[in-house]
Amino acid sequence: MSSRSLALMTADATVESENAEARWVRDSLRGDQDAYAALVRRYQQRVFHLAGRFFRRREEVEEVAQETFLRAWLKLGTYRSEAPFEHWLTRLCLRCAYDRLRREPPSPDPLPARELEGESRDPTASLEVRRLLSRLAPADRFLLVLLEGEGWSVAEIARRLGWTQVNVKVRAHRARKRLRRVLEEG
Amino acid sequence: MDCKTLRSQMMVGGRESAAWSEHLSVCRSCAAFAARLDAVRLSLRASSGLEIAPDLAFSARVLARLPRGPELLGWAALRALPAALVLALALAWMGSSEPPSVDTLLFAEPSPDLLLTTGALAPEVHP
Repeated sequence: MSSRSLALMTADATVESENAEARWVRDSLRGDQDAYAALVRRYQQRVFHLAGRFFRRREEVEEVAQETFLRAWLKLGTYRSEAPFEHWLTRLCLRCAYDRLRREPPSPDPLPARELEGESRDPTASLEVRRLLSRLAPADRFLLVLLEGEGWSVAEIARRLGWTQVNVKVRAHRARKRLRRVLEEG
Repeated sequence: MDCKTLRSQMMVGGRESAAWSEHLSVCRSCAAFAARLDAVRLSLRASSGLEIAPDLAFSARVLARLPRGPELLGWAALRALPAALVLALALAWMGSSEPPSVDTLLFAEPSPDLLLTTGALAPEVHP
């Protein structure tokens, strides 16, 4: 098969996938829960991944993911189809995570040994890092995860969250300043 | 390079230089700071290594929590609200006002507005 045929097939598959998504959104707006379940299945992995950036415990990640899809269902009427559905959902997920971080900061209790193993080869070092991070305000940790963890630029964070770039810059500056203080205090 | 400058550069993700290495080799406090910063950054980046995946019943649990249909009257509908209100008021006014009688239409004195629109009072234009 030539590379041109392969490219055409890929393009066809993409268009088909986008059509299916538009149909699921339309049907969900009419109250079709099966269509909405298809949307949930398509994006659940992405939402779990993003929520997992802010929370380490399965139950916390699950709750943020459920809250995201619940809000998406309730606000589906506000989704404008010119933008990708994934971007809209990402914004909702980030807001859910941010709200939860402010409401209930993650517990500083150590994770079970099994979970720490996945985080680092040295559980003591992991605990030390978690202790340092737990001294940051949730809003600061939220920004640092997006900047350092996801590797997003200021412009990208602003676009994804619907904040101004100036707002993101100010928050990022404050977050780094506080992290520096925490690191200096040790 | 002093401690303050070095730490400021490190915080914004500056690139390691010979000046950094030189300072870190003699300043234990900055070396400890750099080690902690590296560990925190590594932890933030590596958190995706601890991937928590949804199980097969996740979508079913989401559906079980859906309270009702999506909010159809969202912002999109709100944007159309002024136009809908104007239309409703216009319809109400048309419904409540009585149509003019035939006598009124035939024998009433024409208003200046009407004369203007029909050109009766329009100034003559001479070429």
